[in-house]
Amino acid sequence: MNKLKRRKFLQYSTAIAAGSIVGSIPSIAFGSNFPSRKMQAYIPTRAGGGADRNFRAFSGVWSKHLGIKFEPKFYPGASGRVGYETYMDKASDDCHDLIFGNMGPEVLNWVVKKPTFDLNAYKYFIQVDADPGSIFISTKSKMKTVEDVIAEGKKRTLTVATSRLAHPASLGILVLAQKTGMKINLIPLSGGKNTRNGVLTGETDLGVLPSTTVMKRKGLNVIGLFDEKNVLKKKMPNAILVNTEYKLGLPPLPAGARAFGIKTSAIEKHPERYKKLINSAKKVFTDEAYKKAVVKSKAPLEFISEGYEKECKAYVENITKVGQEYRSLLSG
Amino acid sequence: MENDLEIFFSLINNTLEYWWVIIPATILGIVVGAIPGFSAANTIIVLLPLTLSMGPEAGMIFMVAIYTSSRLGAGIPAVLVNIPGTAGAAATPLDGYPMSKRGEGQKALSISFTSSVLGGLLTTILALILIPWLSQVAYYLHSVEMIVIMLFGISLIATISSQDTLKGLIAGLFGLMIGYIGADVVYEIPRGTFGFLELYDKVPLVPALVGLFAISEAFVVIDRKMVTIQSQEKNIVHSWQQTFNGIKITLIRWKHVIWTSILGLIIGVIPGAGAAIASFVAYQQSKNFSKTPELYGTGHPEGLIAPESSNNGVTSGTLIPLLIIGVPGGATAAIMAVVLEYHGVQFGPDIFETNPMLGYGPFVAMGITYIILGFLIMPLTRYFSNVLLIPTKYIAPLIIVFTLVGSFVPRAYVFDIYVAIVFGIIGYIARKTGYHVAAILIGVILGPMLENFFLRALRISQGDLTTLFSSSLGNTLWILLIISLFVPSLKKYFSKQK
Amino acid sequence: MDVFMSLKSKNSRQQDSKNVLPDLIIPTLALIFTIYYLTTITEAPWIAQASAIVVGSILILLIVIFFAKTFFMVRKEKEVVSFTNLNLDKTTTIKRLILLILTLCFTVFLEILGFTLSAIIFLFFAIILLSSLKNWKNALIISLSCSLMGYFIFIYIFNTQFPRGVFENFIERIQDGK
Repeated sequence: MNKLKRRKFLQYSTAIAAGSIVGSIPSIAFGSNFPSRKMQAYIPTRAGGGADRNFRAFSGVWSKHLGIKFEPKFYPGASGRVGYETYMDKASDDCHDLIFGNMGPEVLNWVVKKPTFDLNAYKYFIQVDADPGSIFISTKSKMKTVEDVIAEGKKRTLTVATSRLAHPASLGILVLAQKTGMKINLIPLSGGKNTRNGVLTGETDLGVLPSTTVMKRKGLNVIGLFDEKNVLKKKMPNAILVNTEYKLGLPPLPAGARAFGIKTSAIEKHPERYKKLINSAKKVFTDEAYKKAVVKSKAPLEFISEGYEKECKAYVENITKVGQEYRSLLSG
Repeated sequence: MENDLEIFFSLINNTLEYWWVIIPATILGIVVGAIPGFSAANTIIVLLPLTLSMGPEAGMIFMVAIYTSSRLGAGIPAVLVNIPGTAGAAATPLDGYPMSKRGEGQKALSISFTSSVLGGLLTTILALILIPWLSQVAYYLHSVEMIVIMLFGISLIATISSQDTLKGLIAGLFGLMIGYIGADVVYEIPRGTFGFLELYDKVPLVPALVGLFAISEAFVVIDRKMVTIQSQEKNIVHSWQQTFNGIKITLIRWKHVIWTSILGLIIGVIPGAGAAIASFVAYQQSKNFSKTPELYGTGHPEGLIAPESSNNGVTSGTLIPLLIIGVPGGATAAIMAVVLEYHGVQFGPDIFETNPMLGYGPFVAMGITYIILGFLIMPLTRYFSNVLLIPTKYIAPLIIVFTLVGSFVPRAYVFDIYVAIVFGIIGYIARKTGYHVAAILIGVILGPMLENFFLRALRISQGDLTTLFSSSLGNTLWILLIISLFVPSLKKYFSKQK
Repeated sequence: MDVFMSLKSKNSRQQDSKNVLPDLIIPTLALIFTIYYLTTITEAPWIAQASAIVVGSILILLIVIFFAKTFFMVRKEKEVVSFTNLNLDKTTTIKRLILLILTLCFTVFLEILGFTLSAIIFLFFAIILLSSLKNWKNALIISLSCSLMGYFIFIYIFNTQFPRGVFENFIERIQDGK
């Protein structure tokens, strides 16, 4: 039934928007009454996935502060490439069209293979969460700790399930392997579920994924986090902090770092609208309704991470730097 | 065990909350089942926009209810006018029609319904009990085994469903190649996309389905003037006595119902072998073991019970491989796969733990549908004699309109409508020249999976092809695959020799 | 399953005429597509090529066998080479082509006019095409009632993601107005 309601909301907003495009042309000239039409979010993954849930939780509350509904448009495919290309190609630069993606894997993707558009043509400006990458094993595995894994990895090549090659979690384990001298073979299984199953069936020795998708799963044990603190000790009691423990020298690079992005041309054309977007988004993080929405979306509150242009820029720069360093390994 | 029962009852409760889906779907299923050539699969496709908007649980229950009840509906014209409503009821007229010619149409219908409901209910319960064990098997399947299972599925569907093995295999493999369109999971290189960004993420399944089944059907159907059932009113003597008599006759033969329905369940699990095969096998076996084989074909109750309870056994069997490993057992299951995939449901053994409502739910819904059918259809036996006429000049355009829009719904790309039209043309030619659209569709569904497993296996073995023959379970499956491919031609050869 | 089983009987009926050329259309399409596909993966690392090459070459092999088989059948004069099998009679063929064109027009209109209006137009002309001009009253009634019913069920009640246009937005605005 939720689905029904969701669609109802969606459609309702579509119609309002479509109907108001014509009427809104003069108001664009004044620029004061932004937003003049419904906001559109291009999402480069599937409907019903993690990004979708995340987006709904945030945009539901944001629309209250911005005074207009959000409509998500899903363009899955080729690790987000389809969504970004479509956004750069079709979205307008009047600040009504945003992109909502996961900075980590998507920026790494550009490092591995340049997109057709200019990378400076868009900018992330509101980060909503930070989910550390995790190392996990099957509870049936002989290895029990990261130490065991490294010891075993020095004897033979370990197979490591991951969602995709160009992913912060893959990056983490690659760096760990290089620092400790263990041998790994990354197996991209596309998607959290396949990755978990790869470990559950014993087809791969271990797996790496953003921690939300693995913690509390039956038969799986999170043994390490690529982070500097474990904010969810309750749910991942066995996880050690790999970054500090093994002195990886990595900046904190959460594997899940979802953020809204916008065309830079839109910011240049309408700085006042851009400001309004940020100011209204700030109110979301202090709104109790947002916390409720996050809980409802089954994401841990601990992973909410408020960030703006500066934080996003730092993240993108960091991941690009590390990604470039390990570029050859990330492309298979 | 107590815990299991608790889950079971909460599942029933949960499913019953969808009564507003089950009851209309059941009635609709009976009606469409009774229209020859208008199967459950077609109906589900026409109503796709509705199904997609319902959410996975309601959508699945809706499809299961239509699928289940159309099986029973298909028996009606089979018994009354010697035209099976769907291929699954192809063996039903053998003894059903002689009975109604004798003026015992209502009794025949009653036998057919009772054995269907009992057989269906029994196998559904059996499936529910077996699934926790069966699903454990999936945890032992690595990519190598999965590759062979996929190939097995596609070759079985291709060979069993076609009178020409070669054509069947060409259709299935063509489907696989189409399913390979898109960017690969490891290197993300776009392949076979004709340069369309819209095809990066595989061929969209709903448009493929709509094109292959519905659009092509609309273009085929205009050859005929009507999609009809002609009724022969005189065959029906309205009396409750016949109905009760039929129920009694069936209940006395409960052993017969049990073993033929279990036979159906087993055949249903095998990809490609569906209701039509099950009903003929059951009919033949029941005749072989009968003390009175000479009565078969003259209106013998057992000759009616066997096909009806076995083809209803297939109904639950065909869902088992779909839910456990994501390989659809037949056309209707393939359509369900498409709908569930749209909702982001991922199949696999853990579906029964993480989402019992989707894992066990279909079987519970099926059981409930059978119970509803039991109460609903008996009184209705009296009214089924009316003529059903649907002129194709209306039905063909309607199919086109609603299914094309249905192909737009999942992604809201107009591009997808053109995809559906292209598949419609392919499907039309395929149908007209003896290639199976279902084989193509299942190829399109299995293609990406096969390719993923292939890539995974090679990646794990670091490019060593011999990994494909490295597991004993896998090798056993390979041998079975080869046998299954050659048995039909050997059989042909030997029968020619005779 | 039912679908293709019933198909089988349909097809076997058609097999009575022994024209084989139409039977070659699907293999030819499959062949062209497979070759095209293989040309798009030449840049990929070989493990990404492997499955397509394996399946593709089996398919090509099967198609070659099929062509050879057909060729020998024709030489034995068991079968006739012609296209008549596909098209049963001329008028239905023309009707079918026009229906296809109408279908394409419907798709184009969908983007501009939305579901309801394009459905009315398409259904009206398609029904007239398949019956006759005399039938225009029935065609009008059916196209109007079915399209509006479709609008009501799918868009109004279930809010399905149907293409929207002038009509849908008009109704929506009236509702908003209240």
